[in-house]
Amino acid sequence: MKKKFSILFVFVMALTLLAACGSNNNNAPANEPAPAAPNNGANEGASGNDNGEPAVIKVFMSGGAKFPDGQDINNNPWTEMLEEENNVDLQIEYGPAAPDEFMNKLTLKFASNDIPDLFVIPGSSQGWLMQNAELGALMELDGKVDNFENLKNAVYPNAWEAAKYNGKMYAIPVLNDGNKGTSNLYIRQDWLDKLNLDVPATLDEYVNVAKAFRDQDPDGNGKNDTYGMIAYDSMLGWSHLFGAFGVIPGYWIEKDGALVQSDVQPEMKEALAFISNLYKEKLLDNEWPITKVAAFHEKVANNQAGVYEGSWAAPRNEINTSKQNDPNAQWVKIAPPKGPNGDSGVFGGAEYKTFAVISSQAQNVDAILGMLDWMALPENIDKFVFGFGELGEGFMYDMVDGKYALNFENHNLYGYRQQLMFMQPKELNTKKMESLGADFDLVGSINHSTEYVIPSQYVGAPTPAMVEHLSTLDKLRAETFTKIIVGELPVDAFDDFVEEYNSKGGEAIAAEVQEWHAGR
Amino acid sequence: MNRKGLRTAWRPDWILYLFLLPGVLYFIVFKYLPMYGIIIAFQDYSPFKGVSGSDFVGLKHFIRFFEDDEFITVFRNTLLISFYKLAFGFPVPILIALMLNEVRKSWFKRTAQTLFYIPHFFSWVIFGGIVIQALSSKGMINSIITLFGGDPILFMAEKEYFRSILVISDIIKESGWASIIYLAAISGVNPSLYEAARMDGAKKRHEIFYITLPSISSTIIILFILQLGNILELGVQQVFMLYNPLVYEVGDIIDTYVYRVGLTEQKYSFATAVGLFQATVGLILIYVANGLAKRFSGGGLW
Repeated sequence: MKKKFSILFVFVMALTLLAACGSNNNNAPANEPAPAAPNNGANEGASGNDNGEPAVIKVFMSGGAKFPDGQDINNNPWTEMLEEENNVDLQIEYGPAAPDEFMNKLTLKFASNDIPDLFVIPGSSQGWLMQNAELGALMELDGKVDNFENLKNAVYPNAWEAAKYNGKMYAIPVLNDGNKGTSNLYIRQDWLDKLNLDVPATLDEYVNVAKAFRDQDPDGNGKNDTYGMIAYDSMLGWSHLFGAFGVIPGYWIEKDGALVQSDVQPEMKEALAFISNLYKEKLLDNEWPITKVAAFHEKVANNQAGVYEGSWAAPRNEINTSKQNDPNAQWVKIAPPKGPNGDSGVFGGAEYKTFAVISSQAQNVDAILGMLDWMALPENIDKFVFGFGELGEGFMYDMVDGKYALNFENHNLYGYRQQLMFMQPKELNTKKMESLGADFDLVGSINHSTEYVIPSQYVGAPTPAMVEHLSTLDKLRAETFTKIIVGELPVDAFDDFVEEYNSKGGEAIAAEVQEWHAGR
Repeated sequence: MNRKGLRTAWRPDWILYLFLLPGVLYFIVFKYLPMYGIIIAFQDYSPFKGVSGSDFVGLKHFIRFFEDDEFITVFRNTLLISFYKLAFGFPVPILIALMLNEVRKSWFKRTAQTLFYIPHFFSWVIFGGIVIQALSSKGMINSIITLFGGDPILFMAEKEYFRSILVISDIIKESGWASIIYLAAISGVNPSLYEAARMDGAKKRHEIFYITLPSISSTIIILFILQLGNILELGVQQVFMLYNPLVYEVGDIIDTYVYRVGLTEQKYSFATAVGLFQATVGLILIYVANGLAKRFSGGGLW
């Protein structure tokens, strides 16, 4: 039988893209080559060094930043400065911005034998690192780094572990901007004062404060619209409640000389029992399992919450908004409350954000390591953050009351320059933190957080059993812990969970971690 | 047509047949050649070793999937949610198309159509956020409930509601867009049929039931068969945006499972094996449905 089908789709789509990034003042100095390098070599790259031709380095880096007119990643004052200072010839390929896409492209480049000498991959790509190390695609760095003191110093000893395969180093971990800082417990001092309360030091005091914040109308608007404790769907985001019992979900802690998984410790059961009680008394926001982090921050910004755990950068973000919404708001960071056994703390982060990796086929390894070594010095990295020569003071930053203050217009316009920082010094860049806004006291915030972090004691790459089982175990934990907290499961269900956890791969993982621990 | 005829029949019209070439090439290059990649479902594939260099492991990944404790849960959830979406979601675009077709005021029709289409263009990230917001304790729905003296319900955290939320939000988001194809089919119905019916004294409802619906029935059947083919592939986005640990046991589907186990841990072979399983089930269902359609209504996909 015949069918006649005629379907006509007509789309009239008018897309208007408004590019609203026209700069009104002239940025002439930026478009000229920077006269900063000590040797005023006239020819680009081929400076007056005696060592001869600059070493060619093929770099693959993640992209995404915009460039002012006439500039690109290979042709801009910062790349040129980097080349001149180190007598290298950088041939940079600007890859995709999204980590997944970047890694796909990188894998593709390896498959098609178009292999970059140096590339920087996200810290989450440890699995990739290990696979490639196994295949011999990466330069083994043991012994090679020793000649570069600054570079060696710029990495925490623990962080090297993350880049090791069979005990050998295959990458250089690059530190976070905020160094070891993660989160802080912030509290409204003005609310405490109003209700005649002291800063809580123990869990009991903390619970009392939360009760008062919820019930005694701390914002004085006559409405019952304030929260006790707030939380959201990621348990690490309110880790201080677990930290008070000395455990952090998913973290490895040291106990009697052995590394154990927090998730299956009796302390975790205590923590869950405690938090579950908070939930039952509605001291903990009952909507937390379905609250996303943005909604969580909104409660702070809208001044509905008086105490919460937030990132070290919060004074610049939601706390800043809160102060704009309520000029009386006075936020202070406090020590996480101490639990029954005197434990306290917040989750510690990884000690690196990315890995700088050198391919096994790279020719100029010493030139690459030399460049990274140069970047590992604070005074050199500042040339990126604060510019240099004409691009420095008065352009990228100003001195206000003796403190650095970034010129945010140029800071954003030349945002790509910070992507060129393939390495970071170990020292916290206090000048940079200050320049983002002296009032925010980000340095204090980072240091405060660092003081209380509980780091995971397992810092190696994922073990084979982790690769096999971790996703299942993570889901099991999230499901069980959430249900225990909201009372859908009794606290004693924790015991069954431990059994299931161990039988579904937890034991295998623990054995591998133990082996790793013994070998250190 | 006999074989000899087939061999010579194209000759006079070879230029016309040439027009087929780009389409055929497209299918060969983008649909058939990539099927070669299915091989990795039977390998321990490593991107660095390539398809030819990876070890062959037979049905290992399929067996792992079927033996996984989570298999029963995700398979049941996928089937149930798919079934609900089909049962409740499939007729809605037809109803919308029928109703829009009867609207006489063209300004109203156009406005309504636009409003129906808009949600389709939002990603689930945005639309999911709207759904979560609307169902939160201070959201729209709960405001209405409390207005009438009820207690707020945490819809997103309750197992009983989760699948209904998936189905209803999917209907709201996609039905308008899906109605386009029916509207197009309806506009192809010969107007003289309606005139003749009116002469015979047919009312509006008679026109709908005896002319419009029978005229578009082949479209409906074809779309239904095609939908059946996707019964195990719900897409990862919607559920991923909406679910949380409290509803894992009713909301976790094959796609989210593969996302969790396969892709975040770079188990390409495993993900491919599950994908192949979904596609195979889909293909079988399409065949069965097509056969049934041909037997009972005389028309199918082919």
